[in-house]
Amino acid sequence: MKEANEEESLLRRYLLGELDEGDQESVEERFITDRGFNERVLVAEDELVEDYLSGGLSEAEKASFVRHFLSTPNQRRKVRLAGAIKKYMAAEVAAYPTEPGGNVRTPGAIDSEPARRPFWRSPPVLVAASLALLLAVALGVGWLVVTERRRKELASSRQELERLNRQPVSDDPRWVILTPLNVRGDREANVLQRPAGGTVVQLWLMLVKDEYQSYQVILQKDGDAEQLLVGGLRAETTPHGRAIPLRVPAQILPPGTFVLKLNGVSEGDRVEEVGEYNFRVTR
Amino acid sequence: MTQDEFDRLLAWLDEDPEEAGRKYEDIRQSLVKLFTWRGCLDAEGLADEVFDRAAARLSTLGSDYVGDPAHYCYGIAKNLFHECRRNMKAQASLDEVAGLTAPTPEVTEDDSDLEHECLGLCVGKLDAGSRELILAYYALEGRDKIEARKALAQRFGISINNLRVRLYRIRAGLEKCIRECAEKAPGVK
Repeated sequence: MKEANEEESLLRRYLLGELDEGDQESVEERFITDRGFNERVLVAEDELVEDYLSGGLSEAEKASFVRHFLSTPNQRRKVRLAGAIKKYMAAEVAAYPTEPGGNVRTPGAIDSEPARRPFWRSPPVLVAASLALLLAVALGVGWLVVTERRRKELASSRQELERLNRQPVSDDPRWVILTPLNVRGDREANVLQRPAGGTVVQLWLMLVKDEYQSYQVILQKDGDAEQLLVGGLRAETTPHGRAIPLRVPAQILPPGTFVLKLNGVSEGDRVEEVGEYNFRVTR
Repeated sequence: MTQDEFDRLLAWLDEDPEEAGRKYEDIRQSLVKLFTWRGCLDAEGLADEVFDRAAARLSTLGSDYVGDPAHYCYGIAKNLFHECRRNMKAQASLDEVAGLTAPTPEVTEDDSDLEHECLGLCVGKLDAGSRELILAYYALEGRDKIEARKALAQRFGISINNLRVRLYRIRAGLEKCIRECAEKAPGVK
């Protein structure tokens, strides 16, 4: 038990970047050559992430975690995904009754309670439930109509975006230059005066490095769930460096803040996050 | 790496082609993790570079290396760690000069809609046992960690170590599933 605890502590220190070079190499050499140890390191990593997300790290550990463990975009994404899983599971747990031992009674679980008519099967409750159901169906139909309309609008916006971005880059000088947020170091958005309907907003998304065959952009209005994707974009040379040209029809840019996520697509269609940009459209 | 070099590399990893393929994947995955933990940005590219260098050495020197190929690959990886560290330092100096250095951001909760959708799909693919275990684990959130693990292990009739491994495998499987789902249909609702 003591040895197991010592190993756990060693692995945690390794993952937090707190070991000296010699100990670091010992861990790594075993990690790559010993299958059992390999999985134990991965378990330690998984638990370290869980502890970070639950606020279970000491201040010193948290500082090392942020400085060392979160130093690459891949690790930040890993932790973000773990956070999403945790949030999702918490919502699932909240949706179903939980017994003291953590037994979550999801739908389909066998009910071993005695067969006694529960209060919710009494006639007045059933009548009220039926009325509520009717109301829910009516609301549901209304929601479906609105959703379908919105879906059609989105499909049309996607087609327009694709059409615009298949065209070659024009000599039109009215291009807005956007710098990636991680380079700027702040999240203050560039401001665009809302262009007239029917016009096209032309954006250059500046690249720190051009290392992908093609790029895709995901456009999302702050606070909206919908996303629009444009793929097959290629970097061009501008007087300021390599950049991705993006044209967006003004009609899909109501006042508000927009976030653009840029992904790089390499051989084998592997998609990786490259950067994030933002801009604000004013009236 | 040419096809011939790749075939020679696989034969060096193991005589049995299937076993060689599995070893290749295992070593590659381990290398990607090591480069990531060392803070190297292009961990996947560096893992491939290890194999490129190993294959080049096999071509010129022949496969007279005796011992575990994984050990040999780690030797190459160590050289690349040094190169990666030099690059990181150079990058840091450049950033300082350009005033670009920003503190490492903590993880925010801006999980994209797409990942959320994928998460729903992936949780739906879990077998009943795994789903029950992971839900039971999160239902005990907020309790003392050691006590919660003991209670869960007892309930599921497994050891605490087995429980930890199972939880890790479920979460790792979910993460892999979400990444693959998001890559297949990026941004598409």
